[in-house]
Amino acid sequence: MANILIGTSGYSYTEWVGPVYPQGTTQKDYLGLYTGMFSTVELNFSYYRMPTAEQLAHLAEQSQGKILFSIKANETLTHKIEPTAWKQQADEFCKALQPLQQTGKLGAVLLQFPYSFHYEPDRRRYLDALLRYLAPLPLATEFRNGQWYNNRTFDALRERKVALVSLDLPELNGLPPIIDTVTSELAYIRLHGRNKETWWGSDAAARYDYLYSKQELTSWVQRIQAIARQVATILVYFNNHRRGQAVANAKSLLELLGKKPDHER
Amino acid sequence: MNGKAGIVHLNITNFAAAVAIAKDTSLSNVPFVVAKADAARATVHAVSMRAWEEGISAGMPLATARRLVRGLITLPPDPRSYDAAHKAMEGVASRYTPVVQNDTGGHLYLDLAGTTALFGPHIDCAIRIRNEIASQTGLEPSVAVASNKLVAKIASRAVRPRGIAYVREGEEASFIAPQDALLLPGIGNVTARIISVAGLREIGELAQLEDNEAIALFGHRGLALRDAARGIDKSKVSAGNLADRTIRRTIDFAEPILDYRAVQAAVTSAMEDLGLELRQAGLGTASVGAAVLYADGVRSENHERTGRLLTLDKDLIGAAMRAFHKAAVRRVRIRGIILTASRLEAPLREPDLFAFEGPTRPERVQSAVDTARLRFGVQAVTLASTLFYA
Repeated sequence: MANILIGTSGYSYTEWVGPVYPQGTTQKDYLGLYTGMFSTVELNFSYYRMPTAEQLAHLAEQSQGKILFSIKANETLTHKIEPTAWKQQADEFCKALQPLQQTGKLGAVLLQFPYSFHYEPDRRRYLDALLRYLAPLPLATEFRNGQWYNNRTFDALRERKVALVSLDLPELNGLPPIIDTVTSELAYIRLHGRNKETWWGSDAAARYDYLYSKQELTSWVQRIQAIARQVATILVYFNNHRRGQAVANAKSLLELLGKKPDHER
Repeated sequence: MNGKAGIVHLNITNFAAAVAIAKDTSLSNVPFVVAKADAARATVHAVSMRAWEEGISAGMPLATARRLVRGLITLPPDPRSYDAAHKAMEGVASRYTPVVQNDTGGHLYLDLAGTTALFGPHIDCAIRIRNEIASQTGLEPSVAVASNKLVAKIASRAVRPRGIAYVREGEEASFIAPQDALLLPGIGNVTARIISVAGLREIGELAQLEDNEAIALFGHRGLALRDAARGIDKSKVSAGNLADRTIRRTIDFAEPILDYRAVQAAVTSAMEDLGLELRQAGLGTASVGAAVLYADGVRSENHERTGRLLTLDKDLIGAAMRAFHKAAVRRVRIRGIILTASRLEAPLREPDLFAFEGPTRPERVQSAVDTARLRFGVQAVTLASTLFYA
């Protein structure tokens, strides 16, 4: 059976002071408190600005070795790709990851591609080159465009031992289908909430404003159990971060899976 | 996830090999095949994943497979275990819906319509069924939910060997469009060759063919292939075990007869018609029955059970006549005959629904005959004896 780790997408939200962190908590204490709840986190700041080795070494130190970090690739590798510059950006990104790699605290690198990243020859060539370039890293790919969800993509990821992210999204036409297919020893699950009304045309805060019901999480227990027979590690991240709902759901899922909240272990 | 799509396809990849591994887990990482090793020209029925990685495939001569892997483990077919596995799978599924179509080879179709109130969203229910099958039998199917059987089967193939897929209603065509054309059910060797030569790779490319293009490439069945590529499928989930289903033809003579050659002509004609239906469904039969209805009201019946699947007219007619001989033990005029094909199964090789051809000469002849019959009617091409005594 796989090692199942559950956490949230990001931990540093000021609006979590109150619902998650005690009133008066300052930013420097967020990670310490988070470490008491979960054993993994997905870092998202790295998407907006290129991380540095110092930053990640500091986070690893703050977490006292209790947290496995997954990290979202910088936008220059997934959304704003410069054909002549991406390798340099990739080098910079990889260099930043070294402290996590050296301490064995790198869970996965998340490559999240936007809806505009179509299943076209030039995009496929780029993806192939990127995966080769980052090959030693534990990689997970998330596609927002449904065209990528075909058997050739799955086979290609399997050959390269790259995980295909399983998604939970609103049931809206145009979004990717529900697909759980194991393509590496690592499974990676992201739950974005099911807020149909605010998914399109609103800001990220509104888009991810959703609290999963117990029934919805129970369904995920079944999906996770199906995956767990096939992989070594499952990383699960809740991205419905508005008002700390991700934390509440992550704790509930831990309970439903019969796992104690990590701080009680 | 409360969409209407409620047709489920559960698909166990390499069923015979999977059953062998479920019985003996030490085989899970070993190259092995399932074959009748004592047959004169034995062919491989099923391969394990490791054997497949070594280049062995189903249908390959066993001697060739043994040359590829020295000391290749060869297991005999184990029909009892296959039946038991099917029954166990069906038993789990039947607890959730009465509409379960149990096809052979590790395929189960379910219709979950009307079950949401009891068991929740269809995709959740399908995954629960999948997991229960896995824990009870050790067999882990891929599972897909869609609005029809065709799309559900394509999706379950896309996520083989053990994945999960849910295709929302209204997104069938967009989901199957980027899938490999060879995932379309019914693509056999011949159609696959045409698709390859035409440079078509994805189902979506087939879906875009104009009527004349589809017919030019694939002949009379081109439009059916093109429509399938668009995700169109109106067939229903037929409750029951494929092995329990029967295809039937009834012969009523205008007046009771004792003329053997007229009986033979009628049986031939009826079996030609039955055979066409059988091949269109992509099936073969392992049991042909004949019930003789005598003029005095007595009925006598018997079966010809074959050790192999019959699909070609000449074999079907031969089996039907043997069954008739066993059943017709009285010298009394006959007023009718009921012919049946039962113990149905899909042949080992993917039946080519879109071009009824096969690699052997008899299959090619049958293919040409079927093409003519589909175009001009079953009576268009028939054995001369049926015309002479008709």
